[in-house]
Amino acid sequence: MIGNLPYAACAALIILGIYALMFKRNLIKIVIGLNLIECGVNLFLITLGYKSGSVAPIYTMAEKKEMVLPTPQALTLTSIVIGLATTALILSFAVLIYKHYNTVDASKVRRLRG
Amino acid sequence: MIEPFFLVAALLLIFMVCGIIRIVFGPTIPDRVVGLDTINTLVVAAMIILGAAYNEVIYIDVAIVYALLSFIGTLYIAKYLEGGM
Repeated sequence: MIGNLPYAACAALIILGIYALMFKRNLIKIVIGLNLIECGVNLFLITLGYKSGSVAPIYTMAEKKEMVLPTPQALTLTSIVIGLATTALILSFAVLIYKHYNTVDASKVRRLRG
Repeated sequence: MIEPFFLVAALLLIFMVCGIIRIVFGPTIPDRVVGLDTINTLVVAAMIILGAAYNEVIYIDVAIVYALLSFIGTLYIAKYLEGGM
């Protein structure tokens, strides 16, 4: 039961992020929702590599025990960098939209409005 | 027999929950910033305690880096609240 707690946290983060993406109007809040989804995915990847009673996969002065899987950690490192770049790009778009339309309300940004 | 280091970590967790309560119910924004700063410092302490509990030297480096970054984050929020940006 308690072993499934990280998966429940991942599901909660992703569901919260999708909720923010669907029902929030503020562009900054939409970006925050996207970041929540990204955090949930990263947590899910890290949780996949966990083995109970194992140590960090670093060989410097490591104990003679099992190590957690290093491949999901490498995947997560890549995913974090990609998420950071995406967030920076979207935030710069948000700043440009604010300068152009003078609002950050996503429902008011209508280029083809009558 | 529970390890004393884990006991201290659990105590720090209780303190962090107190800080989270301040963040959630804080009436003004500076209250929330102070709560966040307190939690950051407690997280640094908890990282060092857990590094001692798990016999890992490398976790101390993570704590040092986190201390620097949390200070910078708090500084950013304070600068923004002051109206300097």
